[in-house]
Amino acid sequence: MNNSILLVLKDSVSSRAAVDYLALLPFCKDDMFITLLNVFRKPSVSEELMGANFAEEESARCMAILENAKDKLAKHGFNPENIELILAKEPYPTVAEGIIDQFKKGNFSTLVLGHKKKSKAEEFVKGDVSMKLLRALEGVAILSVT
Amino acid sequence: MAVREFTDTSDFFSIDCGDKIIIGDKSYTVTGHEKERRFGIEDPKMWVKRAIDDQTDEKKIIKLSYLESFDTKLAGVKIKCFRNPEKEGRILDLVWDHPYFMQGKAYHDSNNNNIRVINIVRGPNFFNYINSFSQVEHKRYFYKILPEILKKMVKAFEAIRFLHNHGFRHGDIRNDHIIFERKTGNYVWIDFDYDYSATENPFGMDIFGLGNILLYSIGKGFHDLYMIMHNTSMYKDLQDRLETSDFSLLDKWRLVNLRKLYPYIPKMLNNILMHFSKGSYIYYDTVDEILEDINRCIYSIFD
Repeated sequence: MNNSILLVLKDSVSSRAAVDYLALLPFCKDDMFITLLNVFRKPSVSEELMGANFAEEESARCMAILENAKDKLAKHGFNPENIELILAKEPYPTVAEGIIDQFKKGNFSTLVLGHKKKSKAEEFVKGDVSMKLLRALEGVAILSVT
Repeated sequence: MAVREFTDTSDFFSIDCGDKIIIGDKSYTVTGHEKERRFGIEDPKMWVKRAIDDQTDEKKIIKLSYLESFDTKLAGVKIKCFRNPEKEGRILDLVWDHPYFMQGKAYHDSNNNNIRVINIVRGPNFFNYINSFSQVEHKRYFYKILPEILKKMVKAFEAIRFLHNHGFRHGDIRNDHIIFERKTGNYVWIDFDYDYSATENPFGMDIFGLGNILLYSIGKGFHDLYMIMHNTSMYKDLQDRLETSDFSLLDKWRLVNLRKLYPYIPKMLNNILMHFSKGSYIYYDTVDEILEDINRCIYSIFD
């Protein structure tokens, strides 16, 4: 078992909770390798209408989220040289597909992500990233932080 | 009065009977408007013209560009819906010669509006087709008529899988958007210009629509709480035996657990429906999954 973690982030309360959770886990932090990932989904019609400027601003905003998370983890004892940032700007049809693809490109033992609680109806209509990852991935620990 | 000819269809409200729509070197005479026919009400769709091809005398449906968009709520979940004529045009190209989809071609007028010229699919829609068995007792319908319906439905569901595999959604799967084509006996999908914003579950609403079609077929119609409470001669004590989890995930009045109404429906078949109920924790992710379950039922229950 290696000690490489993939932490999926976006601008959400549950993502921030996932960073806090990881920061406070009693690891031997100097030995941990962490990849912070933000995945772009193909834009919805309304997002497309917002144009290229919106997409550029979104990119910068997402990179700032990853950098803030890196700072926080470094403050809690993780070695910043072992923290990689990936902004997957080539959009995927769904975030879950993006995470699965990025996960398979690396050699991770643990996947951490935030999870927003949804009603059953909302889960059906909008889908649920954590559930999709649980179904699709194997041989990995998935920590879904609510 | 001189015949009016339209090469720009932007103002589709002003295009009326007797007018001609010119698309390239083709000319179509408008004879009327299509209507939304639900619940005994006819609502004219001014952007969908009935027309005759002036060269061949063939009747056609001409769908003009109407970029309607609105938000709807299903079980408290907001969904952005919109008409997407370009999507319908691209699907028409994809399904050319496919026996389970309406046939037609998409063009652009002089103002770049998308125009789809559609061949008419002749036959009753699925809503009316199932209604035509209203006088047949359910048990007899279930054992004698439903097996054939399910076999044909599998083909129609496979057609939706074909769309999904090519990255398209139908967008508005309902029982009046399938036509029981008289000439072939096929269940043919029509009207795929609707679309909705979807994030992590891009085909979820299509799959839910398929669940509703299946529910409508197996139940020989929908059964809602109002009917169950007010028609005690048919439903007897059913209302006393129902729980919230027996109803649809997205329509709290619609009964999904049909086995409580018709106990001879095998559990295996009823379980497919229960994936769409409030009580379910497992949902179908793909059309393949629902097809696999239906096929298993057809061969183990009816064959």
